[in-house]
Amino acid sequence: MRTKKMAILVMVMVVVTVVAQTQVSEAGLLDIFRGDDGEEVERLILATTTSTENSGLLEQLIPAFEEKYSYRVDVVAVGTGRALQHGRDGDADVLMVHAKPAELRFVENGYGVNRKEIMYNDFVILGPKNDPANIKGTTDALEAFRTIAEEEATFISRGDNSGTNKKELGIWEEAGIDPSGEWYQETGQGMGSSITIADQKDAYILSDRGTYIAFRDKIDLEIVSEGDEVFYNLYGVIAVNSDKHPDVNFEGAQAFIDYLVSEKAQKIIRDYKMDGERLFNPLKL
Amino acid sequence: MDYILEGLSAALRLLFNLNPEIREIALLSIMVSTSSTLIASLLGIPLGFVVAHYDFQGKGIIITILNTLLSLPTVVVGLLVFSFISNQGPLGNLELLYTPLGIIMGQTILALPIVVTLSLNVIKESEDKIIDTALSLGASKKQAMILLFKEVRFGILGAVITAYGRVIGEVGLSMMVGGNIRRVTRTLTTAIAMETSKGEFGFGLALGIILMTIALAINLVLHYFQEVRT
Amino acid sequence: MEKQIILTVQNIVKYYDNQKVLNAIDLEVRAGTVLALMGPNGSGKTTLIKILSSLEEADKGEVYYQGELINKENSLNFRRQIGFIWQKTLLYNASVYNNVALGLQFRNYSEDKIKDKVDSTLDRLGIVDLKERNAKSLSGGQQQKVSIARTLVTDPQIIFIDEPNTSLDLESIELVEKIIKEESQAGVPIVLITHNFYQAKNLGDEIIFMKEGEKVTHETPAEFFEQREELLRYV
Repeated sequence: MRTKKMAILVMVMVVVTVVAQTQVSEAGLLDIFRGDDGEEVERLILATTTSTENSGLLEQLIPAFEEKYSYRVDVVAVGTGRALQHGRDGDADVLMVHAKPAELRFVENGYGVNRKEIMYNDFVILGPKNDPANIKGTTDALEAFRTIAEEEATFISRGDNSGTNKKELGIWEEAGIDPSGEWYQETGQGMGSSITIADQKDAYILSDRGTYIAFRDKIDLEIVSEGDEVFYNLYGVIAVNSDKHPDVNFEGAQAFIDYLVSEKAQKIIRDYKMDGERLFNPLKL
Repeated sequence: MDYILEGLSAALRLLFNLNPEIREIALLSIMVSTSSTLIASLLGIPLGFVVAHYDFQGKGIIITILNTLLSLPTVVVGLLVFSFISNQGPLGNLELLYTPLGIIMGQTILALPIVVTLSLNVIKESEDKIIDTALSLGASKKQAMILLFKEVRFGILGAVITAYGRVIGEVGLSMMVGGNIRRVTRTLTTAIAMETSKGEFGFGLALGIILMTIALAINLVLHYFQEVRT
Repeated sequence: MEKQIILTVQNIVKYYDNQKVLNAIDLEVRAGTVLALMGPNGSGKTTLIKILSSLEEADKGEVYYQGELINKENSLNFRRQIGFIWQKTLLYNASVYNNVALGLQFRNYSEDKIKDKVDSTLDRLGIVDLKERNAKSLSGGQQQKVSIARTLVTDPQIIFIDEPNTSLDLESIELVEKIIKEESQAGVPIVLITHNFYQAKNLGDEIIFMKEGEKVTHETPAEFFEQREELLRYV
């Protein structure tokens, strides 16, 4: 009697799995589990940064590409550091990141080819409304960072080797400061989580403008400094070198890069807005 | 408080409208977790039985290792699986990275020690008495074993439920091995993590409520099977 | 006239983890007699009856059932001739009927025969009304009755009983004693472990006193209680 119940249970589990898969797509179970959707398209793995994916821009850019070519773009959003590591390991086909020096080294070392600069946006310094370091309105980023350090106002760093983190560390270096002490706190987390932490702690933080716009309704922090040249945030795209990793989808990567610098993609970038504000500026129009 | 209300109402809207993308995400979560729990059970229950029943050298070490694996963070298992199935890893040519199959593989590794240790404990606890009593009633060794299985099956089902709870709720491994790729490997937990990082707390909470609803439904079903009628 | 020998054991030795728990035990179990095993805890009584009933193997020595040496090949058959009432009852998560039927199912009896035998045994113990109940939901006394029924239903040729007084109420103890009397009168030999010397005296035809894995005495109750007062201090 109860053994029968057990048999029914196992059947229920199997049926749930099978029914679930027919709901997902026409493809077979194994196809789905292998990451195929059953259509005759090749997979193109794009490793990019969380801020790029979270901005929502890719959801506008990719469908037009997929329509034109028979590729399916799978976006893996990680920090710039890990995205480059994916490229070195051949776990991604194409990279879209924002850390120019690291990108150039990557290409120099033969891991990537055909690097193109496609767009830019900028970084801003966010801070609490009462602005304890009194830097509101400063356009000089180095000056702002120096004042924060002098006043020992709480500063939140991503500390995760991301593009934003690399940029922040670069500014400290240029300002001649080795940030340390109780006021300098590393989260090791993504941009959004770090902004939330900075908001809760009434701290200063360096953020890309896109993530700030996405978060500004939820936080009390506001922009205290913007416009310095050093805040320039350049996005590059690189194909992973098929000489190093013959398995990568090199043709797909080339097609994707060509697409991103095309007029069509550049216009999508120009016209993409969040809360009425443009997030990225195209470089090839 | 705002987030909670926002989350609740968003969850209700999502559930009733059955947004196709949310449905896909939820179904993928169920499929992946059910598959890994099934595989872990098929491997783990016999393994638990063997370890409980037979004496062999190194048995103590195996039990210690299994118990240690129970407290392994999902990210570490993720890292381990990742380094095996990455292009640079020994299983790189199977192309499992960023596929649901990769997640299933990792979740199976997560679930396996739970199934093995819990069923091992259930079997060990009652084995001697059940077998002795059965033998004294004239059972052959095989008949005694069958009776043992019948007697411990609810305890073992409990082990399976626990394992299911662990895999359907884990995020570290799915994120690492699956990559949270939209329409391919995005599960409820990785979607929640992503929405949270985007600042969409209400939406994240809504997905969390859907996850809880699924977990509740599954537990109710399993509980029905586990129930001892008196 | 001497009663027929049913079970003979010779020179039984048993070790647990290099420690000797039984040392050169010899004994005979005769038809229709009650053999009471007494002795302090850890004296090897339970191990001995497990070896006598083929639930455990001895490291040395032989067990003969009706003159035939028990070995791996015939031990299953031998186990199907015996009955065992445990100190702690373990009933299975199933109805009373299914619990009692278990031994007969192991012996591959037909469904009709199982039904007849289970019904008459439940009747003998006065628990027909519990037939459909889950055995695990019963009270301690009821569970004991079910476990006795489960043993008797197979018509055992020898019955082993391990400390029936532990964790039992008076009514159940009386029931066990009644069954011992009935069965031994019907010619079934009974091996009874007990700590209660009144029980040993009233029921036992022979008393074996054990200490540290050795048989200290083997006498009739009358002899035993006359001469060995001091041994009882251990009990």
